[in-house]
Amino acid sequence: MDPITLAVLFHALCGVAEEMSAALIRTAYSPNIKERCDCSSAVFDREGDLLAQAENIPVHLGAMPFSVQAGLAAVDEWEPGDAVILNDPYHGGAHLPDITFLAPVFVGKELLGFVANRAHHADVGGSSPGSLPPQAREIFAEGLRLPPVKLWRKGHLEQDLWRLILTNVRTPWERTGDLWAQKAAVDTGIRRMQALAERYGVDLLCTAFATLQQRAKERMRKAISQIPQGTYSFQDFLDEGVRIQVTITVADGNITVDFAGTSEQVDFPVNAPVSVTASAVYYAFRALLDPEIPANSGAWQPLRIVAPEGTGVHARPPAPVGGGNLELSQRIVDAIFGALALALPTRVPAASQGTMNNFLIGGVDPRTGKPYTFYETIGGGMGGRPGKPGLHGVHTHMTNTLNTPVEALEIAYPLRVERYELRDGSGGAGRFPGGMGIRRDIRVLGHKAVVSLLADRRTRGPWGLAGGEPGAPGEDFLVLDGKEMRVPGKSTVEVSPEGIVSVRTPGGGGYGPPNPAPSLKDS
Amino acid sequence: MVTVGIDVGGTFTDFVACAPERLSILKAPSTNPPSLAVVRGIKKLGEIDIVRIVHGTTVATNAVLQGKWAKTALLTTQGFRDVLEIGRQNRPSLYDLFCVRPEPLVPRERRLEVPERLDAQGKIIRPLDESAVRRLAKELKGNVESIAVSFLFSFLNPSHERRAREILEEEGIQVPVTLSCEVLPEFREYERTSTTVLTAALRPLVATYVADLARELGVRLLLMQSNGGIAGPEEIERNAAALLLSGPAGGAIGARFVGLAVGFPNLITLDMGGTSTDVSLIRDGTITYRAEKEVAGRPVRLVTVDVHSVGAGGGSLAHVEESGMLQVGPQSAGAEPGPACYGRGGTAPTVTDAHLCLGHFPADKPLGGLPPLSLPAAQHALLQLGKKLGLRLEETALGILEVAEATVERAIRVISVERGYDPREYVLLAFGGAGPLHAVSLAQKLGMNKVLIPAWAGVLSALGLAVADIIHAYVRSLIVSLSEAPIAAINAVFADLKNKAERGFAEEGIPEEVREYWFSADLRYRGQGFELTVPVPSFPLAEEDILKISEEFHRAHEQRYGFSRRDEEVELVSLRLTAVGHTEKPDLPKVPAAKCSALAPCGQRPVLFPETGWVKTPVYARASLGAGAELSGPAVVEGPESTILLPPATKAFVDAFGNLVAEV
Repeated sequence: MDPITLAVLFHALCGVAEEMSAALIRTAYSPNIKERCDCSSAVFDREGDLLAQAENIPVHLGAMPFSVQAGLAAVDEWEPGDAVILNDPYHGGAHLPDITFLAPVFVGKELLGFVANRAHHADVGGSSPGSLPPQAREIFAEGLRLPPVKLWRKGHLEQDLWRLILTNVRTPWERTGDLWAQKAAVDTGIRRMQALAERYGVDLLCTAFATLQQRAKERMRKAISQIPQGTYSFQDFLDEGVRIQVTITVADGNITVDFAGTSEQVDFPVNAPVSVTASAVYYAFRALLDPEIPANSGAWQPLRIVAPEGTGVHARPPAPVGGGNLELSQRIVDAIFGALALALPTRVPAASQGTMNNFLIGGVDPRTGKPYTFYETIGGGMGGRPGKPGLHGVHTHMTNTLNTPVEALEIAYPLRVERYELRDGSGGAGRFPGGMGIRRDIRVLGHKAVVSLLADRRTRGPWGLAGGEPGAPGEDFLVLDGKEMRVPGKSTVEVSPEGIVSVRTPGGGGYGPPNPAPSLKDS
Repeated sequence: MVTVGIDVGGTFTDFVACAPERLSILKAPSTNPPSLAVVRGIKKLGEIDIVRIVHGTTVATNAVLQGKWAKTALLTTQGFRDVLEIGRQNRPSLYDLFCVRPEPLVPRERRLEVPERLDAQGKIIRPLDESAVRRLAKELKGNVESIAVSFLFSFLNPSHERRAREILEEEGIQVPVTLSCEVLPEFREYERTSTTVLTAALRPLVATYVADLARELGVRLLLMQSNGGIAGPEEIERNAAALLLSGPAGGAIGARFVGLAVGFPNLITLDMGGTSTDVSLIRDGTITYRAEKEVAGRPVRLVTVDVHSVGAGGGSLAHVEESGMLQVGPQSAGAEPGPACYGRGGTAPTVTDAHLCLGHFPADKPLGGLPPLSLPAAQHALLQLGKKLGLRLEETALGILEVAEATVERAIRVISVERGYDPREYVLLAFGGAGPLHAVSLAQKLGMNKVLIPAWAGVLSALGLAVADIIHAYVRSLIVSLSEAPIAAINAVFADLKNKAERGFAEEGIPEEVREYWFSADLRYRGQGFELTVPVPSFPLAEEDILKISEEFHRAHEQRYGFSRRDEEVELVSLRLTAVGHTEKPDLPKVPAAKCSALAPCGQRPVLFPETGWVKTPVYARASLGAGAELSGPAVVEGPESTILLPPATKAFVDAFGNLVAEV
């Protein structure tokens, strides 16, 4: 395969993925997709191997091949005009709000490959608005489960299924817009892939698909050769004691990431399906070894993941999984970085805040008499890095979504932000200190509200590295009449009128020993 | 009555002098400081009746890039001094563990909190602590060069910000005080604060630059703003950030001017230079804008021409990346050392070297002010690269162009297909040093069937400056359900904005008869976080206009996003007034007719095209092509600033204005 055509096709496939995402964002209805860009698109070959992906948050990285495999297992015969929908974490999904569309690309009668996209929907039913109930003990409380099913068959919408879906969600009109946007996006992908086939021919494209994966595999092998051969272990915990145990073995250009020793799955929603665990593993190695590596299945081939079924990193139904890709995914990254710090001490940063600080609030707006819900995630401190301090007040690792402007929040909801600032002294001390966490105080105005928190690193702060000190753990308070009461990081509390919820997010760990106190000679 | 447009670029300073019945041009090498070339150029032009000079300058942009802003302090609402640093809480790169965010323009110790608070209706819930402001004034006096004030919800009620400025001035503060309610009276505190701080930090520098230049030139000086309109020095001093991103505006206005003159109102502009390519889209003679952009990682929420840039140009370096694929750009050889063929010490192959190896440029002949290009140097560089790729010289050269064009093709798809416009309905207007070399080939790839290379391609930005209108933009947030909108309140805001605009025009001496006012509103469906701007039919508004506005919004939403929601509540977010002072436009001058339509070439040389291999190809001098001349590919047309490449089986003609129009 000549390197020029290969390079041009590489650009073209990335272009197809990006154009699908652009079409999805352009035609979607809900702010979560449109503004926070919580969605991604990807192109696959006919075996379901990933060729190119456009993602806006790392937790989507490399996750959709699991969806395509689930689709391939569920569908006997693919026909032009088919489109499959799915969200079940136990059948190729991540958590229920993430709905995936998958469609075959036919050139004439020949199957060329697949295109897919995933978007986070604001609600898919379940026991609470937003479909991320922190109190869920089973997945059934988290919303409507969709295994891979054809929502479009030979170009025709399955009306019965459509009605079934819309009947089970809280805001059907919004879902309608977003689902049509996902369909429009796969159609865009199909057209672009067919145009490529017209220009280059199916055979040449298939050769290019295989070559691109082969090259990415070789590139990953080369990157892996930077890590000294050996076995490296580390464990890290969620606040409730859920342990992530990881043992990384580097040998002959391959890596095994073994999670044996990880805690059993639990009956609160921090379990991860294996696809989420895989995304966290891919993220960690891509970020550490080669941020520019093309994101295709070839790149992941040298990485073998061993995740024992029934543990937190490979949950079995009916474990609830809403927070698996919000919170547990962050701890998986921390555990892998902790292990690799033993191998590459000068390249791995100290632990970052390690949580997304999910904040959900709802009540009845006293101005309108209508119920409202609001969801946001809050940034924190980035860990100190070899050669650079950690950034203050940012999202790290598996997410990168935007905040809600204070003025936008106060205009839309009966809430007032009393403070939004960096937490002084929260960054771990070190030669390169950790970044500061954030303090965000929100007052409830003239009504009673229910607040759910799904946050971590509240008992132990993010660890420092190479002699650096840990960052300050997060703290959360309910403030009433000037009195502060500590609330747990994973909890649902009722807030009386004029009460304040104060979320203080963790600082990053420090890197390297803090400057020694000046000796007598210096002064 | 002559207007002169002056565009200061990195290499050349371009001048276009424009009188009602003629246009003349001058190109001079740029100098440091840039004003030297400007003053010399004006003398050299020798125009005696200059009434106005319109200047496009990168002085503000460069200051931000180089960190040369004024020492600035920021006053914020208590509890919110870190908004400037937290930003939108995102990091600039997903996978780069070592990424950095730009340092905030104002460091933490100069971000000072003032006890005060307004609620989301603009009502005072905590009065301004005046004694606290006085204390801060004493601290700041003599210690800073500029002060920005940005309080929450000041766009609804500016009284606290205004009072804070009064107190600062009462306490003897001499430096400029910039209020967020005056720079950008819009919601979203981070973007408003960032824009306000940038304005404050640039004011002293811009004021000095503009005052010095105006004094040296001795005529009325106007400056291009990012929104494509020009404004006087007083306005620019208050609104210094409006100079940022003004660079591409001149080119877009010049392109529109030429396009309208020759009857092509739908254009995609392709400005391909040495290190990067800028593309933009003009629909029905209207330039497309966007509401926000970043300068060196800092958001500027001002209306700017929607230009998409990619790192591909004549100087882009070709190399083999990690996976063994050929990559071109974004690194560039720049002007020093430049491409290998410049013979200034560059050894890495570039796009320009590939063109030379394929016969697109003459070897050993001076080209556009450069010494003769060295073919052996280019060949040597490409052979080295070819060895790594396993390709012959010609294959390597064609490959470099193919990969560079793939990058530019993506950029054009971003501003057209991804925004809902079909590039096949547009004419590709190419300028910049490398644009005309790639234009026809790119048009073929995108299914576009016409390419326009203006006679003015070399000075298109300066031409745009000379013909630009005076534009003042005003905005005020008013967040309310449209169906319940109090007409009186809307009319009061519009009346206030119009008063401001009239005062501005009077200050600048713009006569009543050339003034025009465009009223518009930013709307969204309730719950959405982004807005669309739609025109408001009349001012003052009557009850029935509300229905017209909401109808217009549904229609615009449908066009832009593919659907509308007529049953949903429409929310008014901001009211805008664009005040335009029309300037006189010259006619594009015509060129003499060609002696006969089939022209004799001035030479020929072998050129390699992928579809035919090496063919003897006629070479024409652009200057010798009169109106009506017809050409057919393969052909090369050499001009003073750029070379046009016509592949086999394409046709082109020269129109009455000297523009070359290629049919693909």
